[in-house]
Amino acid sequence: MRALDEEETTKIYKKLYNFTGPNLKHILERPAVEGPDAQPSRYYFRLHKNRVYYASESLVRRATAVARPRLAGVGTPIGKFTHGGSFHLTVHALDLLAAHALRRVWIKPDIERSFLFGNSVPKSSLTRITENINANDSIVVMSMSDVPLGFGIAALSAQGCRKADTNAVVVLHQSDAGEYLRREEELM
Amino acid sequence: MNSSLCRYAHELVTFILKNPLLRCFTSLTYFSCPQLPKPKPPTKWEQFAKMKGITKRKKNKRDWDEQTQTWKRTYGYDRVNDDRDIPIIEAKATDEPGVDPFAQRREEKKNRVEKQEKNRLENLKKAAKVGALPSHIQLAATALPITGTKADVPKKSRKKDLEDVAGMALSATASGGKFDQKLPGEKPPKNPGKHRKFLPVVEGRGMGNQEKQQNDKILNALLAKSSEDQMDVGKASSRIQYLALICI
Repeated sequence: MRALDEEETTKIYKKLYNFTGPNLKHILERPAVEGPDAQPSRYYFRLHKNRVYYASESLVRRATAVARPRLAGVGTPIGKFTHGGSFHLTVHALDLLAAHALRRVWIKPDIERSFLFGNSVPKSSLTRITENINANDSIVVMSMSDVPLGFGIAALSAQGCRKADTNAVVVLHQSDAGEYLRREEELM
Repeated sequence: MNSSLCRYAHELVTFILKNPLLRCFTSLTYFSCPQLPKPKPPTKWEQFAKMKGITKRKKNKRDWDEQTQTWKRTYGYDRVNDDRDIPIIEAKATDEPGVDPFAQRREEKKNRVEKQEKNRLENLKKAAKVGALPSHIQLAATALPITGTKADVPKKSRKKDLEDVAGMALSATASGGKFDQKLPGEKPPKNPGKHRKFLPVVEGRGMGNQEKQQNDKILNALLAKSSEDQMDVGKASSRIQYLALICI
């Protein structure tokens, strides 16, 4: 487990910024009141075996006591670095993103299952959509009961959605909560 | 044949351009004539033939073979007058004893073939000088470096390349080359491996100062870069319209 260097931090912040915008500041600077420590600390990003974890300071401190080969993870994983050095957000980051995302899309219950199987979202299944979405924006997909289902990239802008076909793809799937079941081995 | 086709195409193009009735089509059509291929210089045989007045003669596909009393093809498998089919060679007065005439014939054939190949290459070289190589050879020529030219010689390693490689090799040990025994008079490597330094995992109380600084710098840069779209133009314009409506 180690702290990230500049390059890595830049990549991670960029990816998160696509979802959260200025709320990124909040993710980084919110006080971490977890743990038995008296004073609230902050959250860190720590790298362990190409996976990036989001953990409070108290947790990170205690995790230094575990030997590296035996350390499975620290806190919430949010993504991983590929062999080529690029950073991909994984489904584990969903909670964090959903809490701070700027742009969301709400889909109907019958298409929920299709999205959780890894398919893209067609226009027919949209009920609500945040107004200021442009094409190629990163957005979080929510169910009607405000449960985050996954995230993806907007294929059309909000205006474009109105004009589009009913079967046109609106959200390109990137990650969904169904991956916990489908890709259990790969995620761990 | 290729050149005649190009010439025909060229003539057709000029005809269309010159004809007033057809000139309306010039804007629609796409004219691109490749460079006409250069005529290749006459080969050595062609020069000789011209000098001597030898003309080409047509060969028959099949010829009468006296030995087997059948019609045989003039070239290929089972051909007329094949060198290998001769069963007996009569000894001449000039022959030395112990010399195999069959082997001799084979040698002579080999030499003939080699000579022909040499001549063929000479002809190609002459054509290449003028720039009139046949297309399939031109392709092969440009793809590979030609033997004997500068491009074919393996590049000599420069001093800088050798130093780089030596530096990499010296630091490619478990301790990065720090504790290796050096030869007497050996200088330290010019390009030692880079030691990556990371920020400490946990530092003092709260988020360490260095890490905080690094993160803040990156965050501010990111926020500053995309501060243009902080204002939602759609919302702002609708708000203005609403206010204007109220005023009126």
